[in-house]
Amino acid sequence: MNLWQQWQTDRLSHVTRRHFLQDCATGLGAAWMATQGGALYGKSGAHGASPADVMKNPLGVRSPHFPAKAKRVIYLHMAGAPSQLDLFDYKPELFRLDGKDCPSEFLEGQTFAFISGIPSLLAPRHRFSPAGAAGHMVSEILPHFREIIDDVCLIKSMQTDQFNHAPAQLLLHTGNAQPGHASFGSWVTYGLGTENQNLPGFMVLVSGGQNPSAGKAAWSGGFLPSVYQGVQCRSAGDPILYLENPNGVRRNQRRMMVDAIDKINRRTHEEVGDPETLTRVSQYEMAYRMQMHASEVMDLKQEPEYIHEMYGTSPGEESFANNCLLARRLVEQGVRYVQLYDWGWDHHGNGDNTIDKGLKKKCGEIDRPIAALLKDLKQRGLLDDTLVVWGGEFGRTPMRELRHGIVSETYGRDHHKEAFTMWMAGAGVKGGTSIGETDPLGFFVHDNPVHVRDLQATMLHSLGFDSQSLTYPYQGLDQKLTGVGDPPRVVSEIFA
Amino acid sequence: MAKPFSNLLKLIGVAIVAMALLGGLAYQLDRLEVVSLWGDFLGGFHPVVLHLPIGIVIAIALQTVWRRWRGTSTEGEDRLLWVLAAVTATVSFGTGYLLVMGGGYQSEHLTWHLWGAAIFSSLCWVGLAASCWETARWARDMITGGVIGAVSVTGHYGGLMVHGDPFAGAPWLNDPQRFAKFGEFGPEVRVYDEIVVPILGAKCVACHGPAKQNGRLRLDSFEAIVAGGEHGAVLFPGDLERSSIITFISLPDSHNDHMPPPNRPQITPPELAGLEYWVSSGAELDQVVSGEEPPAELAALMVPIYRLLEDPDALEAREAQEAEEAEQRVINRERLAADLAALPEHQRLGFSFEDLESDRLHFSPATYRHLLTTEDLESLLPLLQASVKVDVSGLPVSESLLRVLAESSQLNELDLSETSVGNEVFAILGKTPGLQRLNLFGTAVDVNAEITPGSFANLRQLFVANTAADVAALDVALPHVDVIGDLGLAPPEAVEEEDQSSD
Repeated sequence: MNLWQQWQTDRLSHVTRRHFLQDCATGLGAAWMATQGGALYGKSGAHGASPADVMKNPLGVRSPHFPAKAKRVIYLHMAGAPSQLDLFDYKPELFRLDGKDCPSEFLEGQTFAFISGIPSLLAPRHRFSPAGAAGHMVSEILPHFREIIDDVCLIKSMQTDQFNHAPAQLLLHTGNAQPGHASFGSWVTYGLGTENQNLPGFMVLVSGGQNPSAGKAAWSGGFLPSVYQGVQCRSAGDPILYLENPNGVRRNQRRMMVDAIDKINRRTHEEVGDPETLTRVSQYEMAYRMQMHASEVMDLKQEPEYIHEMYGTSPGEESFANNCLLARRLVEQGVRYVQLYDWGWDHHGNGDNTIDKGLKKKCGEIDRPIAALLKDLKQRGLLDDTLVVWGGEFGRTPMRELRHGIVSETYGRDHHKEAFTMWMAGAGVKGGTSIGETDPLGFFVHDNPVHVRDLQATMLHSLGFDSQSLTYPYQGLDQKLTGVGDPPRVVSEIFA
Repeated sequence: MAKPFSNLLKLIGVAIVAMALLGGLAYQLDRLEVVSLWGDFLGGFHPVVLHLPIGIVIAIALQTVWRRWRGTSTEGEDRLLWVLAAVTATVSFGTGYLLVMGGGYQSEHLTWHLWGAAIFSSLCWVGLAASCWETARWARDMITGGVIGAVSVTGHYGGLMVHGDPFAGAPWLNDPQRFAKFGEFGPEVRVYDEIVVPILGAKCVACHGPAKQNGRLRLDSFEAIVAGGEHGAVLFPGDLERSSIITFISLPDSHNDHMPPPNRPQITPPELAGLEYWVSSGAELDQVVSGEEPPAELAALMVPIYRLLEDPDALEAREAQEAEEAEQRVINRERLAADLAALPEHQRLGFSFEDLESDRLHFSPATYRHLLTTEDLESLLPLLQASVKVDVSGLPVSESLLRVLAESSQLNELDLSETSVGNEVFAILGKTPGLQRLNLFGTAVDVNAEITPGSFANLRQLFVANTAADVAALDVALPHVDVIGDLGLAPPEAVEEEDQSSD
């Protein structure tokens, strides 16, 4: 130890806790006030009640701002971003211009994830034909989608700000491209509570071999109390582990244990006042109740054979079909927000990820289950109060991928944030319709743009919330899912 | 008697001298071109001193009236006040004179103000003289009256110059109800006068007009619209994107800058279309369109029944009724909330209010469905009858319960899926007035279902999948209802039947 280090060590050893408190009194006070959820200065959250009041029964059923069309949401996220130009946004002009250079005025000021140099335009690699009563042009690699298109509203004018998977997924699901913000399902459970106290209000089902790029931040509770974060189910095997008590532990013993832990936790909460302690209490309670009920809900084997046939499910394996069926069983039981992620839609043209073969293969995996899900919801009378949303985090370019300026052997498209297609169904959505339009190349939105914030505001609207009034005070600011800037637009023309 | 008379002559003399001095100055004003730093500086004190003589002469007048009423003599007792009045009036005149010499105040009002002030100050000196010399009471009263008159005229024109006309904002001149309806449209319609002016008058001018100039913007004349406000021009003829007169109206209602502000009569889509038509076609003062075949953008406005503002009586009646309904809603909601609070948890948890203010309940017992018994449901009947959506899916629903529920005037949606009800539901629920959705998925209804003609008047959707019901027959019996049967997800038996029929 040299003299300098010696001096530092001596100096630090003389600094005591009293110094810390003396020097930081103001800062600590501010830090404490910030944790009080705005209650000290009369801030209120979504319900005119302070967040502290909400936390007394965090998952209790609460009413929306105005009568809601949707009571529940099933969000089908195709992680990696499917190509709208090969599925829904039919652009015959691209056939004529196939292989020609993309006009430079389109490229000015644009940033792409991988394309460099002047890319050439790429015609749709799949045949389109009219579908449904309105005759919307839809790709033939989605044969079953045709059976449900009259219940679906296509939004062909989606726009986002981000052209990389993780930030774009975060922007879509949490309203912010940086991690740390509350996700849509968390906001909804914060706003509405959960109908079924035996199950989490926000559940996440993943397929396609890996989590979405944004990882667990895409279903995090962010600044909301962690009781609202999404609960991820295992993809293969039992969806939820440890539902059974260990050998030799009876249910009443389990009850006594939970009661004892609750007692300690509640005493801690009285002393410290951290809402996270209450979260822990309600998690223990829910885990105890889930032991009774969740295994039954999660057990796909209880479904009759013809349902499995229709969805194409195979219980026990990881599959999007299983997740679709599970989603129906969950919303049937009153789960508010079921989020599905299916990885594998990033068709750059590298390896098997091609627009011609890869996209067709992925469509084959989701087409039948989605059609079955919508029909199943509809015939059970659930579709009228369940909002179903389908889409990726952005779109794909009308140009062929040109990675490092080298034309690849296979067909691929790069990330594209300027225009993409999503669809919604159920909960008062006008079926068989299409809103918004892109230009003849499908590059930019030509008419009626819908930013992802507008989509969020529209989804909140169908759940009975005004996006500007569903707030949570955090760091001195009333946080909102759609951000604290200019209010987004509710795309009311989507609803009947 | 001779003395008061000669005193009167002396007063007239004072008046003539004072008027000669002050009036002479006033007459000279236009001819003086003196720029002096001291003049500008002292002139700046005009607003400070000018209010002193006003207060003092009012005090004199009030004192005079008071003493007349009490019958006490006033002779000479208000001499001090008259001294103050004369001195401050003259100082006000002087400072005002210096202020005007600094320039920038040329107007019609100035002449009146200046001459009024000269007369007022002179009269103050006359009043002082009258309080010193023995003067007839009527003469003194006349002088006091004249002073009050002069100060009123002077003050009024001074105020007009600096603060504008207070009467411009008078409610009887600015009632937006003047523009509640468009005038009669002739064969030629002047777009600005006959369409734009009434819209702006009804919806904008209250805050952007003579009474108030929020954002220093007035919209009550063509010149004012062209002039714009504190953020610059609001009208760019032909350019809807830049014309903030349009863009502020087009912002979403929730936006902070949306115009008109919340709780004010809003501009309706056809009115906005009318304004946009005028701006995009050049925003001309004398644009004329045909009254017989108006452009599509204006057609919706140019119908005789169109009202820009609701009839005030109707509005009042409507608001009163809404307030009463809201009050009733609060009472109902509190009563229902109290009833709910008294229930055991497994019964209570299924209920929720439709929204934050509604007194209508939804019932969907997701948590404790497996625990609810027929007796539970029967004890909940009063609350179920206050519910618009009732989900008793999978529950032991008795026929008697169903009969009581069928009487509910609130019931919009009933979910009986996976219950043991059979064809009798069609007879029981056929008369439920508000029933719009009926879910019979997986129930015992079958092909023998009988529908009384004219029943289910408001039903829109009927779910009979997973039952033995005949969808085609129901479709025929209920032509206004969307009957939803098995959607390609038929149980295996049904598939087999199809196979047989195809053989």
